[in-house]
This record gives sequence, C-alpha cells and structure tokens, in this order.
Amino acid sequence: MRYLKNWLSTRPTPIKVLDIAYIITLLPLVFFIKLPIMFFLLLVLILLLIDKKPTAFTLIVVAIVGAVAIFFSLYGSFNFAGLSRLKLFVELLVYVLLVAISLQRLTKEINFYLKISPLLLLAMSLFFFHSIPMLIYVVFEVFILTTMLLWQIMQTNVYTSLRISSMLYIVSLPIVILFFIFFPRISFEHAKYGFKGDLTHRSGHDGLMYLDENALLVPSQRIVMEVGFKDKIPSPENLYFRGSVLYNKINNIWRPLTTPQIPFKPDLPTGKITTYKVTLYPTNKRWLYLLDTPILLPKNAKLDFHLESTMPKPIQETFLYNAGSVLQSSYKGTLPESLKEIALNYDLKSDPKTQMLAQTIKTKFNDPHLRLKEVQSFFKAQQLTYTIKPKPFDLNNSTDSFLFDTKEGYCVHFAAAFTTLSRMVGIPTRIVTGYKPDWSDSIENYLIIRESDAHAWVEVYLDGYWRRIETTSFASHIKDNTNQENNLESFQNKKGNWEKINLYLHYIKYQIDTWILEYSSLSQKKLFSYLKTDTVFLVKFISSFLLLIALLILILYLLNQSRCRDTLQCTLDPLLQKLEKLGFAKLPGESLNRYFIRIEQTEYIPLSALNTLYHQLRYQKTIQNDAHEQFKQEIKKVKKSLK
Amino acid sequence: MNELDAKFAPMVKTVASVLYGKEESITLALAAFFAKGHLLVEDIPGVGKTTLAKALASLLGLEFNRIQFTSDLLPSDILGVNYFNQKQSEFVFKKGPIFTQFLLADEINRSMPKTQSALLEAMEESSITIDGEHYELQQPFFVMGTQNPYEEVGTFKLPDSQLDRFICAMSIGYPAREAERDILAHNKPKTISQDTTISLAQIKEIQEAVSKVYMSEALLDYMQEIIALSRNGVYFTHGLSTRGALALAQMTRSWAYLHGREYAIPDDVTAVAPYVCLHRLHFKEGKTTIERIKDVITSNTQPDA
Repeated sequence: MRYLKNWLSTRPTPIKVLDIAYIITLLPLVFFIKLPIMFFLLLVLILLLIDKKPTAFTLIVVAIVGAVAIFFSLYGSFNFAGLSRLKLFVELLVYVLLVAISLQRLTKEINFYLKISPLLLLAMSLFFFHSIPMLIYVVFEVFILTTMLLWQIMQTNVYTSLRISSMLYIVSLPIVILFFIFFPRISFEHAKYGFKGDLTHRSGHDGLMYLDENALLVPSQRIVMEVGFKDKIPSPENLYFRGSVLYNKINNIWRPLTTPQIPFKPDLPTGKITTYKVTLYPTNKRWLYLLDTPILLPKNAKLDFHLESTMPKPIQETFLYNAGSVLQSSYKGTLPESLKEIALNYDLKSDPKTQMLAQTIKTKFNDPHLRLKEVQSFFKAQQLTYTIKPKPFDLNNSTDSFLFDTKEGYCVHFAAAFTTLSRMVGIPTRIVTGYKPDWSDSIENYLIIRESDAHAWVEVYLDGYWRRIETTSFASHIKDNTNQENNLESFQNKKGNWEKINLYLHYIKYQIDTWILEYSSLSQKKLFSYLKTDTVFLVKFISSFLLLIALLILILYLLNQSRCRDTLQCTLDPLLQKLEKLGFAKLPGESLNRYFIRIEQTEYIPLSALNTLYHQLRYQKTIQNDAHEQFKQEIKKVKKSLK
Repeated sequence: MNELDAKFAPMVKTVASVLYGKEESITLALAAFFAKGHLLVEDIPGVGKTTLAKALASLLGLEFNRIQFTSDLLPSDILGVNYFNQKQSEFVFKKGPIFTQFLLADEINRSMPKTQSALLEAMEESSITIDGEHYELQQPFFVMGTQNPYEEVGTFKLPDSQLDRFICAMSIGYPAREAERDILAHNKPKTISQDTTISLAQIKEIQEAVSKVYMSEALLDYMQEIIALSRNGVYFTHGLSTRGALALAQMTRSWAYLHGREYAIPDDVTAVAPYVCLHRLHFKEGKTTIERIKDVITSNTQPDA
C-alpha cells in the first residue's frame, strides 16, 4: 500500500507513462489481432522483460519476425484487391503499426512516433468495435490517456492530474458532441470514401411465403426495424406492417405477381393519419414496411396497386424514413378482371377434401358474405392449434393436411389454407406478408420489430373493399413448445418484470446504437434533414444542447463553489485575483500575512488593516459582530484604491 | 502583525545591546522561556551563547547559575549531595548548582550520559530526588543548554529522546557584517543595565497568558499539515513525536503572544517550526539545517489555503 502511495505521489518516468498508455490501448485490440501477431507481441514483451539494450542484430531479427507475423496473419486474405475492403486495410495498418512500435520501444528511446502511437491505436481500434462495452471502454481509455498526458506534462501527482482531466472532460463535452455530430466516424458497416463496407442483412420477411420445409425455419430475435411513433402506439389490431402481397402458389411457395400488371390509381382513403419514423436495417430487399394503409411514403418509394411499397433499389444501408398511414382494416379498391382471375385461382389437382368442402359451402350459400362466414366458422370448428413447430405436412395437399390432418401450424399455414378455401368458394383472396409486432415489445412510443415478428394474413375482396382477416385468430389452442413470443393477444400480457427491464435496456441500447455507435454520414444526413424539416425537433435539439451547456456550467460552478469552503475565503478571493492580475501574485508557500506585508511594502497598497481583520476573523477566538462587515468594507476600499 | 509587542520590544532591544544583530535569536529564546520550555543552543564557542544567557537572566531578574559540563562531571555535581555533618551528627543536603532559576548548561554533550540524564530528568519533572528525598525546583526554571555540533572527540552525543526535552534548538551564528564591524569598532558593554527587569509575578502572568493563546481550527489544520509532513517519510528519517508536536504548539502560542496577539496565525507556526524541528528531525540525506527545514515546510505546505 505504501509502495503504491509512493509510486502515485512521485512523478513517473515518461517510459512508464507510455507503457501504461500502451497497455490500455492494446487491450481492445487483443480481441481481434491474429495469433501470429500475438506471438510476435509476446516475443517483444519477453525481450523487454529481459531488459537488455538490443543490438542491431536483435532489431533486424525482430523486424523480420514482425514481417513474417504480418504475412501469416493476413495469409489468404491478402491481395491488393482485398485492400479496398476497409477492414483488411485497417487490420494491416494496425499490424504494421504494432511492429513499428515494438521496434521503437525495444530501443528504449522515446521519440515523437512512440508518443503519438497510443492515440493511433485508439483511433484504429474504433474501427473494429460497435458495442456498448467498447463505447464505455473508449470513454475510460480517453480519460486515462488524458490523465497520463497531464501527469507527464504538469509533473504533478496522480490526484491532481485526475482532477484536472475530469474537469477537462466536463468542459469539453459540448465540443465533443458538436464534433461528433459534424464528423461521423467511418466504420466497416458504413465505409465511405473509397472503401467497401461489410454489410449484414437482416430479414424475417423475404417477400415469399414457404409452405415446404423452409417454413420450419423459425426466424430469430434479431431486430429488423424500429419504429418511433409521433403519438401513442396504435392498438394491436392496427399494428400490421405491410410488406409483400402474394397471389400465386407455385411449388408450395406463395409468390407476389411477377409484373405489376395494373397501374396504380390513387384512390387512397382519407382519415386521421398516423405518422411514424422507421429505422429499417439493411434487408437487401426492396420492400418498405408500412402500417396498413400507407399514405405518406419516404422519397423515391413507390406504392403499387396492391399497396406494396418498394424502393427502387434493395436496401443496403440502414434506412431511416418517415411515413404516415391511415389505420384501418379494410380499404376501398377496385379489382380488375385479370387480377380477379388470379385472386380466385387455386390448384384444382390438390386438396380434394377442401375442394369438396368448398363445393358444399358454395351450394349451400349464394351470398359471398355468408360463404365467408361459413369458411370462418369452419376454421373455428376445426379446433386448429397455433404452434411455431408444427408437424410435417403432406406437401402435395398442404391445405388438406393442415385443415383435416395435422391441424396445427402458424400464420403461414393459417393464411395459406384460408386463402385456398376462400378462393375455392369464390371469394377473391390474397395473402399479405409483413410484420405484426408484439405490442408488449414497446416502450412509450417506441416499438421494436424482430425477425420473429414476421407475419402473414389474408385480405378478401368483398363489395369493393379489401378486408383484412387475421387468420391465426381462428386457432383454438396455442402450443407453446418454444419460449418465443407469438402474435396472439392472449400471450401479450404474460411478460414479467424482467422482460420489461430487458426491454428498457434494449431501448437504451437501441438509442445508443442508432445515435452513437452507428452514427454515420447517413445518419448525419438524416439528422440534418430532420433538423431542416422538423421545426419542433430543431427546437428540441438546440434547447437540449443549450441545456447541456447550462448543466455543465452549473457543474463547474458547483465544483468551484465546493472548493471555496468558507465565506471568508470567498470574500477575499476576488481581491486576491485582482492583485494577481496586476502582477502581484502570491508566492508558493507564502502565508497571507507575509504576502500582504510584502505587497504593502513594495507596492504601497494599504493592506495592513485588511490583514489584521482577516487574521482576527480567521484565527481569533471571539469575533466582533461587525468584523465581517468591516472586512468587506475594507476590501471595497482596497479595491477602490487599486483603481 | 509580525511586529513585536510593545511590552517585549524593549526587552529584545536591551539584550540586543550586548548581542548585536541577533534579534530573532533573542526573541526565540524569550519565546522558549515564556513557553515554559528549555532552550538548546548549538553553536561554536565564542558567538555569544554565554552573553545571551547572562543578559537574559539579568533581564528577567532570575538567579543565574552556570555549569561547565566536562567528561568527569558527576550527577552529584549538578544536583547536590547529602553529606554527614559531624557537628550536627546527621546528613545534610548540599544543594547543587541546579537549584537556580536560570541554568546555563554549557557544552552539555561533553559529560557522560549518566550526568546528562540527571539534568534532563530535572528539566522534565522540575524536581529532583536524592536518596529518597524529594526536592522541588524553584519556578520559573529555565535551562539553556549549549553544545558544539562540530566537536566530535570526547563528546557523548545526546540521544534523540533526551534532546526532545528541549522545546527548541537554535544556533546564534556569526553576526552580520555591519553588526560585527560595530562590535570591532566599539568596546560595547558585556552586561545589560539592570533597570529593565520584570518582576516574577509578571513572568508568571505572561507564562499563564501564553498557555491561553487561542489556536483556531484553521491554524490547527495547518499545524497538523506540518506535523504530517515531518512524518510522511519523504524527507526525514522519522517524524515529530507527540511531545514534539506539543512543543510546536506551545512555541507557536508563545511566539504569537510575544507579537501582541491572543491568537496564533500560520506565520507564528512557520516562524518557530524550524527551530522546534532542528534537533528533532534528521534529513535522510545531507545535513539538517534551519534553512533546509524552512524550505521543506514552505514548499510543501500552504498556509491560508
């Protein structure tokens, strides 16, 4: 303990400070550098521990070993074309830097390169990580490096440097935020300026609907998009994010129409428009997911006849957009003959049982409304079970298999079977796929949509209206053989406190992710466009920034206040500062008494009365009532005489 | 604030009339006396130790005795002896030179440790015991010990525990150029005029007042800062003892009172601290001098923070 205390109170050698800085900056890099380089660093460490001044021969050997280590670390991925990928390029830079630092450090001579390298390492490690722990670590790392620098430059003890670096931290925060906003960092996922990025695509919805073995793939919990509503989140029955609309079943895969055969006529509904902001992660698909029924679309997006909204190009980067919808479960639409044909089409060769059933319904009822009702009551009567992992189907007669045999499935099977049956009874029907978020996966006006929220539902055309039918609601049982959430409302209230906390954490993580970690030139553009268009946001933004500055000033003020412990000192301080400005500074170790006497003797400033009063106030046992007032008056007098 | 009180300024001036240009040493000696302590003067012979002692004794109107310490000096030579009075057929105590008010113990380090300790015990207890008989010493009782720091042969170095009994230590040092010129040019008197003495009652009053000088929290903070500095092991081999710290407090009070204040200020502490520390602390490296201690204190502590 005493050793540590001594170590902390004495001034460290520059090389010691540098070593600490290196250890701190190298720590995150250890997680990704390849094994050969690790071995190389180990070798250098051993050489350093041996503590012998290296000969030229040793240095040459170390340099060669370093080059070999770099070669093997990048072996296989190394070619010049590969260097256009940002990740490889930065990795190579890091390795070269590490070898160069090692060589320099071995000579035990400090030069400019050695001093600047911890910062370079820090900057490069920022390319590799996009996680919150790393964010926290970087904050810590920068703080320690600042402290080290101050420790070295100011030649004080560690406590003083810690205090000053924390002050610097507080003061620099607004500047850092401004820099951050104006200079987004380059990362692998948003590589710009001549490099190729490394993209990951996410999707639970890929525009098609599989009934075959692909249907058994359970989508993961990965987040596909995040939605922030202007007001409250709409009720669950309105939360349908519309993706693709499917008409044709080919080889047990439901597909959308290959060509948009029908021109879109904008007979969109009017009504209350719900607006929301969406963060859509790269899907590599062209669909946008908008609430039923979409009205306001982002720029360049296209809404077609089937109310599918698409972008001209697949979404390769995180896409932020504003959208607006009129929440309704049916909308007025026309059904051209050509489309009606498709919407009534079914495979005559398969599903004989269902066809027979359809025939009975058709003969029994003439009115399509009654037919639909009959289909619905049939679904209910079948006692179907909702499960994420259904038994395998007879793929040739999948509807028969689902309705009469296995009687279990999830949204896909419900929607497909319902569509088939209702087409058989003569009602134009289509499948809509998209996302139906779990309403409990939300906080305030923020909603997370995961891959597992992918959903399929059915729209039937009746009386000039497309009506949405939630086919999974016909299920009479739920088999919960996995822990994953499903889209039934009965499940939504089951979330415990832990999930709620988890959700909040997720929300925080989401905010940090979108606004800090994945803040790129794209986010910057979006931010600026929000600022330009959204006056409320602009006001909020500026006022929160001003608030932050005010808060920092307050913190600094409080810090200063706490240093001024007693009123006497506070009263005297302005005068002392003034004297200091005039060039009569207090010497280190000088008492106020000697200081006042010295100044009085050399500068002829009448301070003796003040001096006596101060010492009486501070050190005398009994203080006269008006002494403090006198003291203030005296200070005023002296100040006046200074002018 | 650093001016001597009107009561004491003439006293110092009087003594300075025989010890030129040594006002600070004289003030310090007076402070040590009024603090009810004892003073150690470490200096070479011939700079005015005896002159200072005699002048002080006569100024304060105290009975003066001087013991020249030699290697064959016995404790009984200081304290006194019981001798058999054949006329009265009984043992009679013959008081030694210690039975006085102002004792100059010259070259204290020349005697054997046994003799040294006899004196030092008397200094601490203000009483002596011989053959089971207890004798109180007169009050005030003030010892001014001197030792020659440069003489090594035939001396018995006083252990730190015994040095600790002196409230402070000082060296008179060579006089300044002008003062020395004055001494050389004029045949100045060796003794002071008698009419400036103060009464015993006054001395007791002053000593009482000194012990009542107020030390505020802020001052105690500063004092403890200095004590902690002495103990942190960076500069000195070991720190001030609690007795040393008490000595610092008492000297501070005395110094403050001499400067006309009933409360102490940091300057009082800084003024006396080097003298209180001089014989108590040892630098890890190099010689321990007043200047070095002053330097350490002023560069490491900050009064009126």
